[in-house]
Amino acid sequence: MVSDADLARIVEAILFVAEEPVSRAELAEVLETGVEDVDRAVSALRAGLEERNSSLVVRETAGGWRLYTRPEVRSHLERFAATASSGRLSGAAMEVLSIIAYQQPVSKGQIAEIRGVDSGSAVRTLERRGLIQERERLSTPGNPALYETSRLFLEKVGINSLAELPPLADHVPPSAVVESLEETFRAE
Amino acid sequence: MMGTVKTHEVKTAVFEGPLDLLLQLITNHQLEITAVSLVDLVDEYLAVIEEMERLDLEVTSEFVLIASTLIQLKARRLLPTSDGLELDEELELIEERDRLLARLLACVTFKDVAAVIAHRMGQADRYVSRSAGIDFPVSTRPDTLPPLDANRLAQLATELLEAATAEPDLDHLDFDLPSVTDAMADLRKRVSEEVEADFSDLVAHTGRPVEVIAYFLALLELARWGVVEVTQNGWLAEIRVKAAVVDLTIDSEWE
Repeated sequence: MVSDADLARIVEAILFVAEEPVSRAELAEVLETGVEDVDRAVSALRAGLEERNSSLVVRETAGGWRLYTRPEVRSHLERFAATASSGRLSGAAMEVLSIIAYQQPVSKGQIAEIRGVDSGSAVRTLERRGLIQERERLSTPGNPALYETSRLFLEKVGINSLAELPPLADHVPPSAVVESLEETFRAE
Repeated sequence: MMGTVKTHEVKTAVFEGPLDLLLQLITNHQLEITAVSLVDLVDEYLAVIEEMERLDLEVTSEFVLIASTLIQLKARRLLPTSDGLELDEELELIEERDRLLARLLACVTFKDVAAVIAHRMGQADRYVSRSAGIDFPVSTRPDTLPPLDANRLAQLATELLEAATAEPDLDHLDFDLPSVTDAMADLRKRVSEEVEADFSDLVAHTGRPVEVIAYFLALLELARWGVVEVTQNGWLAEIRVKAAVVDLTIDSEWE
């Protein structure tokens, strides 16, 4: 029987070498133990890191756990390796990403309809960054691709699932603005 | 006509398309939340498009479409009654207007939520993770490793070095090469008889390319010794062979 402390150490090792967040089920399978044990091990690991004031922290993103460095050391890492910063996305790319996040699966045409401007290059940028991916192709003429957000997107936004995205309704312009817009356009 | 039209500075296209432009124009007016004068809005929109054309920027069909909807709406407002419009046209205009409104609202909504998501990404980006996974060559051993000691290693090395430095054995190759010397003798005999000949005729009796090569080498050798005179008028042209000094004993290197 492996002790909780040992489990925590093994989890630490796995998260250290993992290339992406590792799910509870995956850890349970590897450790040949129950998910409750995994949860306890992760808690113990977290407490241990906290206790020794480590610059590493376990975060839960994209449906799994992963080891990250703490925000406080970010600037030092940047100086250590220029590649640590991936570069910010343009406003246009962010808009396209938001549309895909909420409307997925969605085609380039549908994105352009919302933005009123062709968004092909922004879609390519997002695809190259691995934030979105092609889910399927429509059988309509031209076989347009339908895009969805990737697991990396969840991780980059720091959420576990799409359900944790801020509700879109919160971002519809306030009713006063909508009314004045309508008043502008409704000629009666 | 409508007093002063505020012309916006569009030195560079800072708006990202027709909807964005419309939104910017509206926002410029809407410092407090009140309805914007549609007439002003339309005039400004058209002014920008005009400016774009002057600056040689691409005015896409989307710009034109929105502009035409705006013009229709403006015309509709300036007309005292709707008598001039057919019912169908009226409905079409209403539909087009509502579509434009809906798109404007969707555009604003996504711009807003994009800012929030960008902020969250900025927050999450402060946490850094390792991007390389486990190093597999380190984690896995070769399946079978033969038992090895220093003597065995020395023996292997000796075998390999001996094999590498050994003279290549060519006995297995078929060295049925035609004799250049024979070819030289044959050439001397025939050239002296025919006085002048084409090389192609001289080798006409041969069967294999290697024989032609032997005759060619023989020809070169004879030319070197001055026994024959060789001429060729240009690239790939026929080689003409003529006998020069007939009686000369050749000490050929081909012997």
